[in-house]
Amino acid sequence: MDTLQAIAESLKEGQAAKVKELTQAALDEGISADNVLDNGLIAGMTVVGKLFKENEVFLPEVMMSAKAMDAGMAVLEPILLKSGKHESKGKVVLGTVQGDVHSIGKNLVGICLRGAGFDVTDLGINITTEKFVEAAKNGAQIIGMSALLTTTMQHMEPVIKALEQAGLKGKVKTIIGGCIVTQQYADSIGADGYATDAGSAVDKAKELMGLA
Amino acid sequence: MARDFLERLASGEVLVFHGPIHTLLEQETGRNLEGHMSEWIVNHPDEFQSVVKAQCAAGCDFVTPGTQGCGRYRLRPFGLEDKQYELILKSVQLAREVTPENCYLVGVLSTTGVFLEPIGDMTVDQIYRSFEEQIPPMLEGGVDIFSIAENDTEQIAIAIKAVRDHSDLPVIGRNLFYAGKRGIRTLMGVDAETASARLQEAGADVIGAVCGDISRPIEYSLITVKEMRRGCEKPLLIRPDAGLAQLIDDKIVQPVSPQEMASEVPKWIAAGASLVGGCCGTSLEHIKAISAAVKGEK
Repeated sequence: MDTLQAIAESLKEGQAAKVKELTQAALDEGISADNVLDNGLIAGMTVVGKLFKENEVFLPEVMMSAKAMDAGMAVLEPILLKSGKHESKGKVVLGTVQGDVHSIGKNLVGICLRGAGFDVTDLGINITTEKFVEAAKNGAQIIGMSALLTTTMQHMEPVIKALEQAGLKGKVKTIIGGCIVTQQYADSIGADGYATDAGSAVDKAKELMGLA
Repeated sequence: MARDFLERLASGEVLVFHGPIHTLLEQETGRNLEGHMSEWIVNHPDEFQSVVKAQCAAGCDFVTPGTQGCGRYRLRPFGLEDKQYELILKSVQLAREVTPENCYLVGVLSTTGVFLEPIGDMTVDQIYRSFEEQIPPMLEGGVDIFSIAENDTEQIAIAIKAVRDHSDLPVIGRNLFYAGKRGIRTLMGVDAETASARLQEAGADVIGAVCGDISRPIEYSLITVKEMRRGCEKPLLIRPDAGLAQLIDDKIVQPVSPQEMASEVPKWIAAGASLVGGCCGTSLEHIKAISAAVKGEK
């Protein structure tokens, strides 16, 4: 097994110390930081996202793999920053809508999107329409909204309408999710996408960025 | 009062659990609750008490003070951590004032929203203390029973220990289950049978399943009861939500109707449930239908 495959395997197993060690080893072998990121860390994390989507692994495995990815990233980041070359797959801004404090699903989406190479900003919970629109105006290419209550999912449509009014429809895409949200709901409020879980969110984000 | 709760269950009685306070407050007041729900409750005592009374009139045997967001990690994003004692005490007192003689006031311990090491950053001790500090104001306010729901069964076990260390009141431990390709499991991947066995081992007096995703279709809730029964011998609580919401004519409609939920009740009881109810998205109509179904089974 070559070093990059070993990195991906150890990442899948959630072995942070091993991933850190192998990442350094890969660099010492002369493999570029970009290559280690794409074919070591992102490759491993993408598999984890797929396994999560299939219910083969659950939240604990995703979070342990995320820690392993962070350990590898800590080694790569200074080099990537210096070369300034690595482009993310897209800028995503996530948030749980106004009045809602649920965050676990949203956090898993953030982990998997970062793991797939997206640049993710997580605004947190209880996020107003204004804050989502501001993020869109500041360069977000995808806005991801999460809601878990029937009473708060109603805050999704105003965000989509506000983006339209700001002339951003089509330029900034929206994906929605949350246990009670459905494809039917997404279609009826004009969201560009809907995802049932973090793994599916990655697929949808790639599709919306024309990367599928 | 609290003693008699467990005796009633032991004698085979079936009780109706309280509804989802956030959904009901917004439905009945027709308004969005702004900010932290418990702060809203304390600032709108009349509206809160009217919803409590409406639930009991609809057939609930339990009252919730809506304190599931009063743990320190939940209060922190709202800057309300130092108001914890006061928010819990006032919520419980408001609920106590209008809890009918034959109903039980539940001390609803807050979900933490954080994870234990190594998955997250919290130690067992930190989680224990975050549950422990909620107990004194609940006891002062006069709760009859404690209840705790968490995504991580281990955190429920820690909460049960905190309750046991400070009170003899009964405690209901509730897992959240999600139906998926590998059956009915918690977010952590633990199946319903194992998770229920764990709670029996941890000392829960009643073991339950709430919320999560076991109502699409609603038949998954019955499967959940059966699996819980295989894992433990304690009285069981089943409280699924009303299914995935749909937007129909600009209104949010939950597909599991009161009648559909009510028709599951006899099956839940036959499979071993002693406490039945509905979670997110259920209305007073659902509660009335569930209550009628329970009475019909007597």
